[in-house]
Amino acid sequence: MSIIQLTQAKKNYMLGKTVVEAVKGVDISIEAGDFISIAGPSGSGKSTILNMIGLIDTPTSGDVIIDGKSTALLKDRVLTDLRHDFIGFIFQSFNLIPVLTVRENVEFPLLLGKKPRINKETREWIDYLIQEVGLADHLAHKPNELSGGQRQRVAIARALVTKPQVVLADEPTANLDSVTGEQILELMKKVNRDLNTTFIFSTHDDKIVQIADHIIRLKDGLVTENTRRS
Amino acid sequence: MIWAIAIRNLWQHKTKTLIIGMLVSLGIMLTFAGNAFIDSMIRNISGIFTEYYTGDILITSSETLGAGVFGAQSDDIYGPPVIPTIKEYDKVMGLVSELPGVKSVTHQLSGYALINLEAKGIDFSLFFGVDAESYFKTMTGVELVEGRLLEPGEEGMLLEYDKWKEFKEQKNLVVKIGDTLQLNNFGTGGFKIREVPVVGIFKFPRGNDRMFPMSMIDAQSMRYLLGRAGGTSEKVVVAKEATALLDADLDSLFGDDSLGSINTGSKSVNSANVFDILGDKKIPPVMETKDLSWHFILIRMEEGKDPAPLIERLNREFDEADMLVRAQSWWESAMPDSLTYSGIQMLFNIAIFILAFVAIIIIMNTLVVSVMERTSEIGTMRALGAQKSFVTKMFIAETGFITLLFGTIGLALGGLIILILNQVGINTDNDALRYLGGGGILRPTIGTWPLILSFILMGIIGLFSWIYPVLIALKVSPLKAIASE
Repeated sequence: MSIIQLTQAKKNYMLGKTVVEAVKGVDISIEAGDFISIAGPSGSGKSTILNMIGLIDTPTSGDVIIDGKSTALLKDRVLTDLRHDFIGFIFQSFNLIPVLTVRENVEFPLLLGKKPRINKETREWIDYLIQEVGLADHLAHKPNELSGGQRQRVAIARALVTKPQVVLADEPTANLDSVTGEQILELMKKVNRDLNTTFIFSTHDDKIVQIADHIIRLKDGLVTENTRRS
Repeated sequence: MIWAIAIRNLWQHKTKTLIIGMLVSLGIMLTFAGNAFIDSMIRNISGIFTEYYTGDILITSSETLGAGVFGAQSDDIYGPPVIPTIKEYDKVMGLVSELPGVKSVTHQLSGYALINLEAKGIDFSLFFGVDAESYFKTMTGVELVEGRLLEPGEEGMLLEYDKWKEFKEQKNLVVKIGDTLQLNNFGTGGFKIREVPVVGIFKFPRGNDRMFPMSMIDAQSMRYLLGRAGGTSEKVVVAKEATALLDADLDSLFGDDSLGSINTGSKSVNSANVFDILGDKKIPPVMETKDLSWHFILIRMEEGKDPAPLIERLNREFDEADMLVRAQSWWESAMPDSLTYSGIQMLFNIAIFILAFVAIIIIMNTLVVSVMERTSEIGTMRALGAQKSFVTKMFIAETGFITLLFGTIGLALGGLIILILNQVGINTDNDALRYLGGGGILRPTIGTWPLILSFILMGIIGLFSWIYPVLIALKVSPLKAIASE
């Protein structure tokens, strides 16, 4: 069953007076539990598609359907709630809040919902996630006291803390060395298997595309390959 | 966590926070200490005015734009302002007698007169015409330097010490107790001459330097000088010598030596003896009349009683009875001096609020820079599901914390300054401060109004400095999280 659908999604940007067509009418369907790689060279539209799926950008035309519902006419407040409840984000530059500790960074999204929830259960869940990403010994560390790989692990734990159905990762290994990058992807794959969380990550590195079981290749804003492995 | 983020962000940018904080502290400290000082000054002045000059409540005629014990305001451009006397005096006193909490009541006239010092020249001076019996019971601030106070019904004058000193030092004239001084007045009642004995020299233990130091004379003499007491109950016998001038040859009055050779029948008149020939310059006993022609009724309240409700009550009763009088506080009665004090306070607070405005602009500017530096962080928060209200709260927390922390520091410093000044005391017995500070040692105290004003200022800074930065922060799209670094 599709949990996210892009139907004829187009995205144009204005570059001065020139219209740039970043995405030129894309149809994508994402199933629950998928581990998807959106691959392609720079400027192919990977990030734009991730932004539209993540509801932080809106298509110029077409629609993004989340859980069977169109998001085209939703107000900012509703989109924000939907992002919070349905989607987790892992950023290329980690984007941790610099003044918060590891634990506080992981906890942070829980304070943003309609009903901020910190209780025994959520505390145990935070501990579990931090344990899973291997940072139990770094709970009180600030982001600037961590390595790139450790920061991305914190970002993964933060993305999962609200138990989202989908986690979007925009080039999650771009700022990491190859070994750490592989470890991060392994971790994402493990979470995908263990929690059945859908992962969509973008990359321009063809070597790490192969870890995905659903590959979407883009070129010049169009889908050139949409392969699902068994 | 909003507070944790706010406080840690402020800590992370310590220098900026400190600069903003110092500005806030300075503003609050100046507001608190400055207003406490001005308040103490006004309290001091209030004590002086109520004790020496105006009482707690002053009743005067409502026929002028305004009148205080030092003069009247008038819209009559053809002559000097004249203080009208209180009409229906008895009726007014009837209402006053029903007031609760009144300690004592007296009445007063105010007027200017020339003191004729003969060869030493003339001196322009303000006089309070008083009913000695009630006046000294009510206005308890007079301190005798020499002589005695006026007795009830006695005609005489109490010379103000500074005036006495001025005569001595500038005119080389030492006025002694028992000397008589000639007072002249030319006003609506015509030209009046009056000689009164000096029974005492007085000063106020504290007191602001006034433009015209006032002396006191008995009310009857004041009335005469003001041209208000011409009637007499006795037949006046004028000596033949005094009317001699009437028989003189008119042409001789305008000669080179007009007074040199006029034959009065018994002795010749010249410039040296003309005033002697005019005879007794004391006015004859004045007719006893119910209309005592007072300018003011001065009321002192019992200790701790607030005169404001009584002023309101009296004015309501005066209005209902269509009486042309009004009751006013010491503040109105001390015009224009009191306007000077409120003007100083207003100017001070305008300066403070300009400082607050500058502080708000600096805080805004710093926060705008902070927003620009933190677009990625704000974008990330928005992407993770932070509503705009969360971002707003975060910035309010930052400005609120700065204002609260450094405002409290400012209050504490201001309070400390006030306490130190209270212990040390500010000597206002110098030319610069005596007029404003009222003389003596001024000891500022922590008052409610300066505290309230400081909190208002803190509120204004806290309320307004975040608005513009937040408006910018709210425009930060979640996309900024992706586009960062």
